[in-house]
Amino acid sequence: MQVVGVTTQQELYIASRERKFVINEILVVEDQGRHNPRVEVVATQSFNRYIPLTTERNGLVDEKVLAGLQAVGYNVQEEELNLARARVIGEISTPVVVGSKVRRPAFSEVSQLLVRVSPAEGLVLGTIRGTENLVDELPEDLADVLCLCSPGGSVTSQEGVPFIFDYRSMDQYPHIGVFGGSGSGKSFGLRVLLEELMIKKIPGIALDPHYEMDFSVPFPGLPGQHYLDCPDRYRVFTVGVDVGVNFEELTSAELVALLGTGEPLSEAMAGAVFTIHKRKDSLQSFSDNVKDLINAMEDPRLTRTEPGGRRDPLEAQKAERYRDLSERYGTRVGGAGTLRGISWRLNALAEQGLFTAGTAAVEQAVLGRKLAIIRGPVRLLQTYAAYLFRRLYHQRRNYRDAVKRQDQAPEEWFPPFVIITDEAHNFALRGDREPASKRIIREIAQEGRKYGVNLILASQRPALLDDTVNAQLNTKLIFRTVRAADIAVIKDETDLGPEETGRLPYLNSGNAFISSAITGRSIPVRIRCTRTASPHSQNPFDELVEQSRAGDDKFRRVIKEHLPFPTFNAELHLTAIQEKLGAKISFNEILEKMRMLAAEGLLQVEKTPFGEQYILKEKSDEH
Amino acid sequence: MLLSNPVSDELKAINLALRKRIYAKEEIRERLARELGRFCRLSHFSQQEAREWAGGREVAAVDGSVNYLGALFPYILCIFRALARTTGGDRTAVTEVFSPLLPHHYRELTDLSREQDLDNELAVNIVKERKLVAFELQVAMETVVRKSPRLVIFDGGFVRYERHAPEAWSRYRQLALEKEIFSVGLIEEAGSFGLGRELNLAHYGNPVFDRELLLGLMEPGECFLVDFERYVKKPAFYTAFARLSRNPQAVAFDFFKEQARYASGVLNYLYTITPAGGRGVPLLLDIVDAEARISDREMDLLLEAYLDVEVRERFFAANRLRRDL
Repeated sequence: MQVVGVTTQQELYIASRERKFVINEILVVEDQGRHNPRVEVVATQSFNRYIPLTTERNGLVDEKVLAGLQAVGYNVQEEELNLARARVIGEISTPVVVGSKVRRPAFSEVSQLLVRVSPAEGLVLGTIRGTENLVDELPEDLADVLCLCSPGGSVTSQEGVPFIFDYRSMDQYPHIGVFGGSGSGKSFGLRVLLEELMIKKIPGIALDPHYEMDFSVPFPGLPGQHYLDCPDRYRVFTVGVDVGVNFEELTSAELVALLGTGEPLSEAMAGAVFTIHKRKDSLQSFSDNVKDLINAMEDPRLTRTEPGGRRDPLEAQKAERYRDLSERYGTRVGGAGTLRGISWRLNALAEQGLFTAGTAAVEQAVLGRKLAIIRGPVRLLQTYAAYLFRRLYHQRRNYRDAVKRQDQAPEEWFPPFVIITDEAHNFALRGDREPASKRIIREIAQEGRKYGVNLILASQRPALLDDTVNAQLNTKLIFRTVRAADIAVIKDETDLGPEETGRLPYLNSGNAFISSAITGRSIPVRIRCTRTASPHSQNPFDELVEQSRAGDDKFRRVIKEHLPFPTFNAELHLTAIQEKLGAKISFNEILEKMRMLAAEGLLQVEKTPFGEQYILKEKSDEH
Repeated sequence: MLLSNPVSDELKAINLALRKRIYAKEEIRERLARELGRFCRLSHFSQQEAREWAGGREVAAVDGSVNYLGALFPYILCIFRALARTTGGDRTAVTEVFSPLLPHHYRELTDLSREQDLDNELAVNIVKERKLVAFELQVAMETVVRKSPRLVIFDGGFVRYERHAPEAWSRYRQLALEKEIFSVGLIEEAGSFGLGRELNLAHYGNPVFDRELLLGLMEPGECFLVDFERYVKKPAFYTAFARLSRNPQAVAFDFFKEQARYASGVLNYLYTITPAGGRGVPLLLDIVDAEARISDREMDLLLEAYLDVEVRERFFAANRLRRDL
């Protein structure tokens, strides 16, 4: 291999007759004057000047010509030349000497570039692409630290140098973005991140609207030593069942957001909530106020004291309350209809159990350095999460601020933690609207670093994510992305060059570029095989086949006992078959299934003097 | 561009005159077949047939090239290069730089011009031809000795070798015949007029060249084999013609008279290794040609690297290259 053509202080071309270049591999240029720079291959080419591209000027070199030359010992295909475009890693101030020899590095020569921290100190996310040939030289602590997963789903051993993310540097460069279209391996990557957080016992809160964050099942085919057995490292909570809102701690704005779950409140309704809700209101007191105000507005007589005074002191007290409420709020809350709307919505949330449990259990999990997984219906989860994030973030902030101020009695310790969510653009949508979720996400994006609160935001649509938030994601895992708008955002927000962004639409599932202020350059990574399996990993079409095959098998087993099966007096069998199948199946349905089995070649139709009858096909292959 | 009437009129007249010189294809074919030889169809060798034909031996191709610097005698510099390459990848190359500015080269030249009674400038051309031919034969010889290939393909007719290096040529010929090495000289632009002469074709005393007759005369994959007892060029050679691709211009092939009976086998093989859509030259010869040639760019780089600017400017730079228009 040698440097050819024109070089610059950043780029050069390398040619080789013998060897094909591997995209992203790192090579050493033997140019003493520039201290033997390391270069990364960013584009590869092979060509054969004797088998040129067929154009109007170059004819096709027919196969017979190549065969004719091969017969006398000349393999024209071997005239192939390989060419690589490579980018200098780091900075040099003068161009590389043309003609310099180029060689593959030993691991020790590139270890500094590839591995910054040991697997014990960082998150092991995958292998660095282009380092496959270094695998044999890996020191013991870097060898066999992960498994890979082929596109077909089978597990293979580690091929390449592991990419280990130095999470401690998030102190300087906080927050991670995970971007990629559906099927790009983004969810897979997110799972890997979660597993690594659990291994390192970094507390976190992950939203799980799809009920897929379960870590109890090992990845099928994974060798035993790689399985992550971590039942005590995570806890699953469901909004409205074991986790909810402490109503007393709600701000009015949060209450408006909660009530607006599903459909935003009208301006009148929101105004009414702001008017009626007071700090430290309990669910009871707030809902009583609303209900009584409705009553008072619908029946003004209730606010009046009977002339001559009521006997019943309780009644009098009630009337006093109605009067008080309508005087305080009556003119400022719109009509009774508005209030009734608020009341309905409040009831609906209460029915969902949102107010029955607080956030204490989640806080306990975070304190115990666990990953808290929050499940619930998508819309509710989003509103709820805004509340939860704000609450936990403030606890952490208050503690740190107190420590900084050197308070005599600092707040109770609350640990740093990570917030993980998929479909993050729903939380912080680019644009003018400022829902509670966006405010808190943006606040953490901008200030979380100081308090050790980090975000891991995944999204299919980086272009839809709020700009401020996007700019704060100092590390980005970018999987296959097809949309031009998203690629444009990625171009703006990362150091990915035109070669890399050009490759984005074609990345294999599970391959990603990791662009990080921590590593300083974008690194192509093959994400490792997850240690645990998602409960939803079965292809729904496989499921369809599997389920219907199970049904068919059962039918076949039952029907076999009734062969030969005459179509002319099938009614005789009907009841027995129904019983055995445990299902009401009509005579026609049975016939139809029989015809299908016959069409598949599993049964045979035999003509008898009375009509047709089905018999078992000889040598039929029973599944 | 402005063309005055006389020029266009003259061109029209020439066009008319030349049109009269175009013979009817059928007539020429018929006469050739009747008087001189026969048309045959070539066939592609299968890989197996090619292997059997080669008998485990390789095929070699020989080519030479010359690059010039400067234009005005004696301010010239030539780089000669000859290359023989076998299909097994064996390469033999010779390179020499020649310039009349150097005393010993100048003497070589003046000796020749005195001997042949020529101007120095014309003698340069002869020296060039002689050297090129000598180098080509040198690499061919080495290859033949070392590799004993089945076939050696020369770029150009045999007449050149015989004229400019008769001794080396005869040594080569002897060795090739001894070792049963087929040799073929491929002439892309057939400058011979043997066919026209044999057919008694002439145009007001002007000979009719073979290439005129051959254009479009044959179908792709067809060849014209002259009867063995007839010769169209020199008694020592046997010449055949073939159209190896869709390109309408046929190519001429020189064989040793002694190997004439192997001509159709060799032609079949050459047909096999010629791209059907190309210019009708076997791929191997094109490959060797590309390797032997020093491209203009390489030439510039060489000269820039090894000649000082002053030397280049003082001795070789042509002022007309500085023209802007």
